[in-house]
Parts: sequence; C-alpha cells; structure tokens
Amino acid sequence: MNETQNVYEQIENIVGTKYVSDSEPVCYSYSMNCDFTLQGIPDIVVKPNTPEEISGILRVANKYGIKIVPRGNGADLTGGAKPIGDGGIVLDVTRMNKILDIDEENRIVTVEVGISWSELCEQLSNVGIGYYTGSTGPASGFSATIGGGLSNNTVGGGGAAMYGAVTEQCVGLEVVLPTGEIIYTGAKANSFRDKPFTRFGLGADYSGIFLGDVGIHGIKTKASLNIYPLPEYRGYATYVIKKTKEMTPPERGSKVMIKWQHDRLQLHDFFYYTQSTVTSLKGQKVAKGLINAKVRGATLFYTTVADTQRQLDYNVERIEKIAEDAGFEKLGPTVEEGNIGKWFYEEDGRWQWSNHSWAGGYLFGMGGCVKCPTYQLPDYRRMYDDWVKRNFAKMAEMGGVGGGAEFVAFGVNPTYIDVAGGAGILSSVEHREAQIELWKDFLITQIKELGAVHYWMGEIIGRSLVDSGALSEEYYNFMITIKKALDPNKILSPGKFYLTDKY
Amino acid sequence: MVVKITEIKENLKYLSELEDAARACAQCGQCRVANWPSKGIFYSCPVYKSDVISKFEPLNPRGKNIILKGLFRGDLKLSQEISDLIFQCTLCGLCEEICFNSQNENFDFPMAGIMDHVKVYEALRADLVEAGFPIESQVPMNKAMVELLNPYERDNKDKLDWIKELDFKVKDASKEDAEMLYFVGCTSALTPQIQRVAVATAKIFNKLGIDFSVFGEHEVCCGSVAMRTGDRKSFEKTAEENVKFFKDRGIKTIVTSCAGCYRTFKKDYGDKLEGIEILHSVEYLRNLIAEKDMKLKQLDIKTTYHDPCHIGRHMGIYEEPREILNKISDLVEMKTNRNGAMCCGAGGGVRKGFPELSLDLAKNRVKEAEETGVEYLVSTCPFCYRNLSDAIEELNSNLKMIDLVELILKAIN
Repeated sequence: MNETQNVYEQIENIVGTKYVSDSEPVCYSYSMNCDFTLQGIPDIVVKPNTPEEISGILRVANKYGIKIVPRGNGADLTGGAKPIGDGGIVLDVTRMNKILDIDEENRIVTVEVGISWSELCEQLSNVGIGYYTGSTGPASGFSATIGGGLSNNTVGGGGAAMYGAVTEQCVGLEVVLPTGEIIYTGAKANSFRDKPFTRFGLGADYSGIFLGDVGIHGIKTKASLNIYPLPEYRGYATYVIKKTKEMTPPERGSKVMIKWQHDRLQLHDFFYYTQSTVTSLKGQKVAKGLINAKVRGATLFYTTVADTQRQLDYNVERIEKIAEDAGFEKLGPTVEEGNIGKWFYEEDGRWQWSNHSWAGGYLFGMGGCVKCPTYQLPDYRRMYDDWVKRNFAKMAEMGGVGGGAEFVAFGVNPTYIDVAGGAGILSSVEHREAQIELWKDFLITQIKELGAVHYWMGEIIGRSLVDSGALSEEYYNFMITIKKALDPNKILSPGKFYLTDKY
Repeated sequence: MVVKITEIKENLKYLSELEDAARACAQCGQCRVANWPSKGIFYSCPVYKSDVISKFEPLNPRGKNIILKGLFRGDLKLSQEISDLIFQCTLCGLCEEICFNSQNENFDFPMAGIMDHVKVYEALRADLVEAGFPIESQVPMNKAMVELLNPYERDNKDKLDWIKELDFKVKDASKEDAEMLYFVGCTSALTPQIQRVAVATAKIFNKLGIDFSVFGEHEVCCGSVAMRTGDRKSFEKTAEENVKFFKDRGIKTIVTSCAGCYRTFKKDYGDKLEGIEILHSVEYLRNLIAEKDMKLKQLDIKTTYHDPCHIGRHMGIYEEPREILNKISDLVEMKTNRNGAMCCGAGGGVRKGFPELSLDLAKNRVKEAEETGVEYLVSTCPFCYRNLSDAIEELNSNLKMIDLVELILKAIN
C-alpha cells in the first residue's frame, strides 16, 4: 500500500466512505475555482462534518506531511481555495452549513462556516423583525461561504459603505489549528462564557490572524457575526458624471464620494461605474435604461437607509445636495431611467448583490480587486489606462481582448473604496503561462503604482505581493514566524506568499 | 501526454456540436447553492440539496462543467466514473435559472445566452453511452423501449388496460380518423395507480364531445427516457417510428397528458413533427374552457401545484394549470414554484439509475408541499405523480397526490 492509499484509508476511517474521494473526475473538479487558468489537481477530496473530524484529518496530514487546502464554495477568483500545484488534499467544508444560534438579544449569529452568504441572509430575514449581516459578503455571495468571505476580508455584496468588510462583523471564531487543536477566539475563549459578543479583550486580537488569511493559519469551522435589522426606509439615486475642462469623471466623482464618507450620511452603499462598465452590463434592465437615455459619462449611485421617513428625508437631502453642488446630473427615479440602487435593492437583490458581471467561460479574467483611499480613484483610472495601453498589443496577440467592463469602485466604511475589476482577455490554453504572467504584471503594477491593498489573497496575489518587493524583510519574516509557529510541518495551504518555502 | 484536438472531438461527437455552450461556464458556483428570493429561487440544484449524496463538486452543475472543460482539454477521458457522476442529475434545468451565462432570458450580457445546461448534459450522456459507459440499470429500459415499444418491459397490449375502465368507446387511431390524437404515454397507460390520469383525460374529452382517438397497444414510447439517458440510437429509432406513424395516419393535433412526452415531441423531435399541433392536456383544456366559457365547479378543496420540469422550466407552461386550479380550488403556492420549483426527482433517468436519490428529492418536494397545509398535491405529469406518490407513502404524509385532469373531471361533472 502506498502512502496516499494509507492516508486515504485513515481519512476514510474518520469521515466515512461516502465523504472522501480520490476519483479522477472528482479531484479534477476541485482543481479550479472561478479562476480557470490557475489549476492544481488534488489527490484526495474530503468533506468532513465536524471540527473533530477536521482535527483528525489534520493530524493524519501532519503525520504524513501531506498538504491540505480548505475550501468553501470555491467562489474565489485568484486561486485561494485550490492547491498550488498538483497533489494533496482539498478539504471541502460545505457540509458544515448550519446556523447554530441566533442571539436576537445581542444581535449575533453563530454559524458553521460552510453556509453561503445568500442562504444565511435569507434565513435571517425570516427571523424576528428580520435581520441581515449588514455587510453581506462578496459579490459572489450567492454562492460564496462565510468561511471564504472571512478568509478573504471580502466586500462587495452590499452594505460595505455602512458596515465595512465582512471581517469587521466577526466577533469570534472556532478554528482548527494546522496541528489539529481546536480553539475559540474572541469572548468565547473565556470558557465560562456561553455566547460570543466581541472578539477583543482576551489579549491580542487572535481572531485577526485567521481573518483574511486565505486559510493558511487554520481551518475556520464556526463564526459569530453581528447582525442588523433589515432597513425599513431607503432612498437611492443615480448621477451621471461628465468630463469637464478641468476635471475627469473619477476626479469629480471621488471628491463627492469623499464628502459623502466624511459627513456620516448613513450611506449603505455607493458605487461608481465607468461608462464602459455600464455599457458592458447592457443586459441589465437598469443599464438598458442608461443606454436608452444615451447617458455619456461615468455614473455614481447611492443607497441610504433610515429607521424613519423623517430621518431618510434628512439623509437624502444632504446626500443629494453634495452631488448637486458638484454639478452632477441626476437621473429619474424609476429603474428604467437608470436608478440602479432601486433596481438592486427592490427588484433584484434584497440587500445582497449578486455579481452581474461574471465573465463567460471564454474570458480569462485577470481579477485584481484593490482597496485604496477614496481620493485615489483618479490614480487608479490613470494606472489602468496606462497599463492597458502598454499591454494592449500583447493582450490582442494572446487571443484577443475580451469583455468591456473596466472596473467598479464602491465605498467601504469608513473612508476607502474597493476598486473591483481587472482586465479581461480571451482564455487560451496555448497562452496560459503568458496570460498568468500578464496577470501578475497587472497586479504588481497595482501594488507598486498605487500602493494598493488587494482583498483576494489567493495564490497569484499573495505571490505577486512578495514578488513585487512590497513587503519589508522584517514584515515578511514576521509572517514566516507566525506561519511556522502554527504550521511547523507546512501542511496547510502551503505555497501561499511562498511562506512554507522559507522554513 | 499530448492529446490531439481531433481525437478529443471524435470522442465527443455530441458535445462537440455544442462546444460553445459546453465551455461557457464562468465557474462562479451560483448553480450550487445560490439563494435568490427576489427571483423566487431558494435553492439552485435539487440534487445538490439532497443529503443522500456526498455532494462532491461534480454532483452540482459547476462541477459537471469543469469536467466538460477537462474533457475538451484532453485532461480527462470519458469513463464509467464520469458517467456515475454525470447521470446523478434530473436535468431539471433549475441551474439555468440562476446562471448568467445560460440562455435564460433574465440575463442578456455580452457573454450570456450561451450555456444550455440540459442540452449539454444530455450530449455528454450520449457521448458516454456511445463510448460504452451507460448506467447499467438504464440499459434494459431503453432496450425494452425499442423492442417492446415501452420502457417498462411490459407487453404493449397492456396499454389497452385503462380503456377497459371507460363506459364509452374510444377510437383506435391506427384505423379510425379523429380530430385529435390523445397520446397517453407509457407511464399513464401502464402504471395501475396512474391509469386514472388517462381515464380522467378520456372522460373529459368524451364529456366535452371531443372527437379523439388513441393508439392503444400500438402507441410507441415517445423516446424521452432514451434521450435523457444518452441512448441516442434508441431515441432516433422510436422518434422515426412515431413520426412515420403520425404522418401516415394524417394526425393533425396531438394532445398528451404526459409532460415528458410533450417536451419530447415539441422540443427533442425538432422539426420532425412540423405541421402537427402538439399540446399538453392542460393547455388544451385551458383553451377549451376559455373558448367555451365553461363554468367549473368550485370543489372547496385546498391544493398546491407542483410544476413538472418538462412543461415548466423546459417549456414555459406555468400559468395555465394555475388558472384552472384557481377556479376550482383554493390554490396555495409552495415556497418554490414556477421557474424556481424544486424537481420531483424522477426525471433524467434518476429514478431508474439512482432510486434512493430520486426518492429523497421527492420527499423533499412533498415536505415542501406539506408546509402549505393543503390536502391535495397536484401535478400534470404522470412521472412526477408516481415519484411524489412514493414519497407521500414513504413519509406517511396526509397529502393526496392527484393529477389536474382528475380535478377537472370532478369540476365539470
């Protein structure tokens, strides 16, 4: 019996025959996430149901030095939830998908991390007065899991201007460490406390080392998140921002967005769409409205929420005065006239966005969602245009430029934006390596020219961060020290940030 | 190992015809678990919801699509392992309702309108079967379909049994002309507890004075089961026979009370039946009720309606049965309905190939129906009827399974 068979049998003893597989097509189907260019085929896929089972699997992996990659619904765009290179085990947590407790008194929900953001928000909406998670996960939250969202510091599914990244709602975790120990973080680390309520207070913020860690420090199994009543009153409007002699649309847009953020206006969301992005979304009812109205320019729309009509009127008046003082053209109130917020919240998304711009299977999406201060929006536009200009010929050579969407920038509490997007070229197996190199070049340009901070931290972004030289030697050594202390046998998600290559 | 593209395409005969669709998946995974209440979708794959299966990726649409890409890249080869995964799908088409790249009219993006999950999975099944990797338990069914003219391995003369229940004579379509052919379908004709669907349909036609005929023992299976389970040769053979039969007999209108037959004639036969009007009994009766301004009796019962995938998502018939049910009963909708309806679990060869999974899906649907608090679970498909009846029995549920035609018969009496 070879080692892999031996490992397989031991894992089978832990989870049962049904939930472990080494079938070729099964393993192959775990070799990609949303990114279908980065690929690593595992030897084994396992679907545990309890932290104890995960602990057992990790102990087996440690014994045999087999790598393990945890995975939620695989809605990641940059290789976060798949092996780097072939081999090892993918540990799929989606069987662990229950809501364990809804503490209405303290407005905290505790879940197993394999539940999706959409399922959680739907179930919360039916409880008591109706709740949601505020920041409702990534734009892929219809399928993405809580665990995946927390592992990537995600934003984009709605509510970010008010509630920030999803990790800011986290008040505690249950984590299985790479060596198999099961711990709680946050208030629940106090073994005399039955329910979590804050992640601070028992020493350092140890939840933090598992948030945005792309699964390299431990396998999250439970998470407790703040929840909020669904907003009763909401207002929205869309503005067109045209170029003036003095200023570009991003320059004009960012000034208004900054003021909106500084003035504490109960903005639930605001989104800046480039004109090209609007055009590329032509199939959306609202985008059709924009196109039919022959809107020429970027668009900016907002959503604000309130508990009373009076409060809402007050917010709307102040928000709109800022936009109107800036000379933005306000579109009509109906969805058909381009009221994007109204469409998303009242007709489409019920407080959770879906990503309406998933590229087709032919498009090699060079995803690079970055966080930067709001004032950097014009810099991002310049960087993006320069990069595309420099690389247009190369992109065309590799199979043609695909897709029209450039980027979308949206507000994140308190004073920054997330610029979501990237560049798209037609996917080509022949040019796969060259396309990955081009993608890296795009990411490194973002890192170097904008000092940008990415939120996806999968294989390609983590490595680009190191390759770009952005991390000081001291900081990088600090990362290595933590990783080494937690994962001495280099079994958990090895290769990310090259950390396990360094000890 | 370098695999030549030509070699790949030779092995993927049916899939290659749909290559654009087969490779269109963006792998976002919304087809796994997405929940989209504003679109009436609370779960995007009924199979993936079932706890009977392991829920590895290939048991949801995205995983299947990644396998498709692997086949086109030459990373994977057709195999029994792939068959065992790919066939665990009822081809219900719910995944298409939430896919941005599907031919779903809700979306119209530059890259959308390409993916057609059901068609692509059927093509992959056809390639798997031709490569020698069928699901064993489905083989005799397709063989019987060709040799005995029905997939139930029964003597086709048994298709006359239900006619004995009638107190009037029915025209034999193989000899006598009529304005309309009632195509009964194998399930209604040969399953004792479902023959009542055929009986009720015929009684309604008789009561309304409609000139109709049936093929009885000469009725050839529509071929749906072969089409769904990848046996294209058997499908083509039965389709040819039916087309010849219908044309030779000068059939102008076919009405069927079977959702599967309806979908197959109308969609899978392509333009072979051009010139022949094909209607599901619910469409036909709804039109007749409207035309004749017929007064239906309110039955004072509470009902809920299960949308069969074959006339619902696949053919867009959602409102016609509801229009009738609203006239004769107090219709209470299930949480998932119309394009978001969960599947009964019988279709796509799953009942035959994976009975435990099939029954579990039916149980999930019955539990959903129970939540409405009604007495009657109504459908318009004998195959759904059969699977849901089994689940009702298994769950010891108080629900009563009934076909819409049975209720219509009561309402016009």
